[in-house]
Amino acid sequence: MRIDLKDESQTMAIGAGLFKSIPRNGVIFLVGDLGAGKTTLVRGFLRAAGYDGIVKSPTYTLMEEYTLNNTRVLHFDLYRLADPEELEWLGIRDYLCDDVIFFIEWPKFADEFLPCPDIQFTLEHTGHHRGLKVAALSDKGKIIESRLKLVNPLDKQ
Amino acid sequence: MATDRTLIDALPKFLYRAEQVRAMDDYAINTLGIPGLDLMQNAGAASFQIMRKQWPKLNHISIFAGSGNNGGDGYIVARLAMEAELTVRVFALAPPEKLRGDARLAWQAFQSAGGATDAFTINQSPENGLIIDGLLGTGLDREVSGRYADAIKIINKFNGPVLALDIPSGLHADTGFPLGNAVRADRTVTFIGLKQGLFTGYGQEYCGNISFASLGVPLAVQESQQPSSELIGVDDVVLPPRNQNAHKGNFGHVLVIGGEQGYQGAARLAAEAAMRVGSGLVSIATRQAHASAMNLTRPEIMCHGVECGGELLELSQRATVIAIGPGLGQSSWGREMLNTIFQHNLPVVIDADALNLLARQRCFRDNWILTPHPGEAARLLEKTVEEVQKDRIAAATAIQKQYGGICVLKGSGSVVCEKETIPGICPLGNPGMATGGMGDVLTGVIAGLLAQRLTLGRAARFGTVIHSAAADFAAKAGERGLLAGDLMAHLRKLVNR
Repeated sequence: MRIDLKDESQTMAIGAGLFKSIPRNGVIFLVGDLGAGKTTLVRGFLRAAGYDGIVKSPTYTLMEEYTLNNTRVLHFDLYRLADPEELEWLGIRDYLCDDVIFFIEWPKFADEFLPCPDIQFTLEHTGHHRGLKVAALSDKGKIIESRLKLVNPLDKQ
Repeated sequence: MATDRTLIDALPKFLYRAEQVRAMDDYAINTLGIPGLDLMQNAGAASFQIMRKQWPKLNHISIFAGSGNNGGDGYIVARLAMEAELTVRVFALAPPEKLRGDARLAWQAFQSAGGATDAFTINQSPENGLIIDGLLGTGLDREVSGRYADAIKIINKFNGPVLALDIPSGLHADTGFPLGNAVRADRTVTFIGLKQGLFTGYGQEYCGNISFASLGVPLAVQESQQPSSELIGVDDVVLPPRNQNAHKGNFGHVLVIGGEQGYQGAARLAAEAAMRVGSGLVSIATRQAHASAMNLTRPEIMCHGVECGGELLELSQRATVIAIGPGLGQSSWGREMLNTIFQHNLPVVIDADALNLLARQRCFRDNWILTPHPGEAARLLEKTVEEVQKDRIAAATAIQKQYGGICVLKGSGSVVCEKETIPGICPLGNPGMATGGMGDVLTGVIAGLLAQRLTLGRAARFGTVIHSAAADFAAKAGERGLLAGDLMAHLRKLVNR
């Protein structure tokens, strides 16, 4: 699925649409250059879930954690990951069997240390054009993608 | 959809009323556009999966199908069982051609796969295998009668295992009270959201083991409702490690007041429980006649004979927490002790006869914890025990409102109510706990935690859940013959994790 995004509010809307599409657990890879809107998408997701605190990029902290009633959301940014083993120190394994939604930016820096992705969002930003490519990477990802189409998050924009 | 993946989710913490779970269902189908049949399909598949996992050798299944969506779930299980080459019989309470909506589609799919149904009559009863209860769902709010009641009675006479879909038929989803007749299941798979009635009152008794299947609905569906109550877990509170240079004054001083002639054991059990969960010091104020004998086998407890309010007031100067009630009696001595307590402002745990006395006085206070069993709760509210048990969450809430502080309504699925917080329900515990002294231990546990400066709410919740958890450990040797004193060693383990 490919979507054109007019502005930041539409990136937020995609995040909100994802909240309406994903079950209580899942792994989302976020791909795109700096400033492409990866954290904005996560912010849109959390705002839709009723979280009204600060949502900032985990560039320096590697991970930010948010607690919702029915799940936890872990937002990783692996851009500054020096060694994939750092993920072990963060206890990533402890989270795998739980109800957790993972957003992982820059997954390529830790490939085999990460849980298997269900869906990948690739954010493109060339000149004035912003675009989003959605690729399902598992059966669950296919369900998420089909529901995202159904929810049609940009419809009400 | 992946078939190798488990369709059963971990049990979530939050609980909802039936109407809220219906609203989630409605939101998923009508707002997010998820086909209702997909949800039904997932519900049936999850149920079938857990059935095969728990009873892999049972190849003969009888499905009781009602006229609504619960019956629809049953038809999905029937079709999956047939595809797996099991012997399937369906007893239909309503002619399937009269089914509507998704339930009708589920039946049609079963029929196209070659399935047949029998109309239910009271002469048919399954002889072997396993029963699936798909009679009535969570919408029920009046007594079950007629053919449905007959079917429930036949299911309950059956010797083999029973798996209930969403809720045992006849159980009230909000209160856990059986509506005249209810199915006694060995396991219940519940869908989309946990219904609070499964966990309190008769809920667990009728449900058996409880499994949860979210049906893969989007997170937004579950987050669309604010929970009505929540399960309390033993991991909700972790007590901090003690400092190397700690002294006994750091961990409070519980004063247990009670132990009228003939009931000394009650105060003694409460005192020991307070010590076993880590209170720095524990004293007992009791009748002069037996005060010196009470701590012979547990000299760590300080024991004082106290005959009048003045003496008690002086003794309580050194305490940081009061626990009053175990074996207090309702004579003039007990009344004088309780009235003295009203004169100062220490946190108090009020139990047993102190509750019976309180029921006559109707005081309000913010810093106490009331721990009634249903009988005491009935007296506090001037209701019958049955009225209390018919809606335990409402009863606990009413006591909290009327008397202030925190109310712990004991009994299967203890309910903890605190102002401005959703009620907590304790899912642990066992019938072995129905013996004398068990409540006295709870009083001591909560007081001992208060002494270590847990807030009232945390002490009430954590105390209730570790008390039940300790009883579950102790009951591994058998529920029958379990003694309140058997909890002590386990309590100690639970506060040192």
